Amino acid sequence: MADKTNPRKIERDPNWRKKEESFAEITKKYETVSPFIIAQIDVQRRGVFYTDAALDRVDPSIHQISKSAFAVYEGRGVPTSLLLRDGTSIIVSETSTQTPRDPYTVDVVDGKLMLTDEDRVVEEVFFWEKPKFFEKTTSRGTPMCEVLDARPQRFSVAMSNYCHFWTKPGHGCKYCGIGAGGVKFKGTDEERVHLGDLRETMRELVKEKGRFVGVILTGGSIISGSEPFEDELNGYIDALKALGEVFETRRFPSQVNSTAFTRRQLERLYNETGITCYTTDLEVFHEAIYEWVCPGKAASIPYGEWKRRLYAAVEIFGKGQVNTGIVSGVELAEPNGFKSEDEALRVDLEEAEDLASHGVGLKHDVWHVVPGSIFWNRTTPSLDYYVRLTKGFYDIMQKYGIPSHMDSYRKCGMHPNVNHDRI
Amino acid sequence: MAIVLTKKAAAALRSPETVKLIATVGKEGEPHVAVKDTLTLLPDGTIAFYELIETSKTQKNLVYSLWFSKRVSVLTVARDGESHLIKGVPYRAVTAGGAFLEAYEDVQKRYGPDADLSAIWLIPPEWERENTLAVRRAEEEIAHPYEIHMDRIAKEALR
Repeated sequence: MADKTNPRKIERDPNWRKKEESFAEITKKYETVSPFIIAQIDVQRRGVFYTDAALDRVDPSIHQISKSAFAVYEGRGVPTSLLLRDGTSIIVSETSTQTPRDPYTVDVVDGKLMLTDEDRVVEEVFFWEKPKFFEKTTSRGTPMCEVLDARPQRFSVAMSNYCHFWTKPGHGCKYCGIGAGGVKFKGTDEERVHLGDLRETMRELVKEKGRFVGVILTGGSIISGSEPFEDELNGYIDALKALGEVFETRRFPSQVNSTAFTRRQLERLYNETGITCYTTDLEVFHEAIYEWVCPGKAASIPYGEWKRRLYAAVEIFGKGQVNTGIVSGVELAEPNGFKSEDEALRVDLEEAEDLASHGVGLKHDVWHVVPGSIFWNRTTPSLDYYVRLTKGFYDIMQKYGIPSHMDSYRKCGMHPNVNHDRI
Repeated sequence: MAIVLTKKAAAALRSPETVKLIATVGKEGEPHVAVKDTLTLLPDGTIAFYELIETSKTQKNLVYSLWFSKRVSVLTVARDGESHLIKGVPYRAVTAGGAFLEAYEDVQKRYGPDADLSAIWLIPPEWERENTLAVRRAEEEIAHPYEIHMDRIAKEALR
């Protein structure tokens, strides 16, 4: 009988549990790390599978759902993601089931929606609820749910569906499952966000009292312009101005996650808009591995220059208003990544310390091995590695007194070390 | 294990006239207490606390208590001295969804448009006692009759 939890028929190692410490062992080992954050990490690492009973709890009129591509779900909408009891989001989709490890199962136990593993209850979980504007369309006929996306407390603008790094063969970031497919948007109406749609959607969104605490704007890199990435910058400036039209205050809780802009470009971004925070992700904290994993980025902006632009951003936006992230785990990807988790962790934390000493905040996204990416058949590190990295980033941020509110569990939810900074 | 509060404690938690405090401990082990008139009791017997300030010490300590299963204390004090002490471990912080949005609007009606809401904390009560001085003194006399200053039992003529 086919394994319903493995719709992509990924080759699984039947002995994987014997090779690494379990969730229960890790929570006991790291007593000062929140078990909720450890659960978030492990679910993001291993993915989830929804039972029929769990899917019966989905109410499409209330919950945020996406249509599953997998026959196992029989065309039913599956939850976009999950919330834990403490408000921590588990950013996990069915694509995460592409893992050589068994996914967690979301089931109904004693009348409650529960995250389970090997028939043991791990935690109660809740489906995300969608915002009201998701039901509306713009005057152009665009569904507003396609203009802005939402998480439980923040919304996001997908600025560009086409990342220019993927134009040149071999230049896309190797972990990215979006970039390769983005080329089809080149030159189409859907390539970039439509400002008219954005304005109309914002006017609906702000009617929802208590729903949102921030916005993030992000998208594929756009190399073109009067100087590299100037068109990308102008896109963010235009969009931020459109967003700002609905607010009384000049500045509003907002973050741009873009390619690393020059000092001049950063000053334009800060001075010409109501932006408050800035992110540009190094993706990997090691120059040679960065060049291998992110060749397009490295060809345009060398590693050292990317860091210098982050330091300039701190001077312009202020400490606690700038951070950088890694796709944690890709630094161990074969064949050019680190050979051991200890070595990877040592280098990650040394580099993190250097960045933090310049006021740059730290965050990491647990690597999902996603279909369509160049790294589609790789394996992610152990839970122990991720917890040590989470703790390391958290401790360094504390040491250098860098606030993490800009990317908190409310304003993002994706980053375990930032989510841990609530106590 | 959750308990059902006595009628007196339940009424005290629901009364707008009583002063309500919540005491918590965070990662440093330092106790913190604050008056919070947004503490109440829900129809299902769960204590609800509406935290209005996202980065307050109480909020941080409640997160800590939920994460690491630590108890928090809730104290009610009425004008006539009637007092109730209740303890429990926070079970959930509701930060989004329909219930949160309704509560957000209620908070704004009650405190004005400048008020915000960060979380609805749900705390199932696990332990309670009446803390009114007269009640506590009577309990103490039964439980520990000899934990007293001796002049109190000296013969009247010798006092």
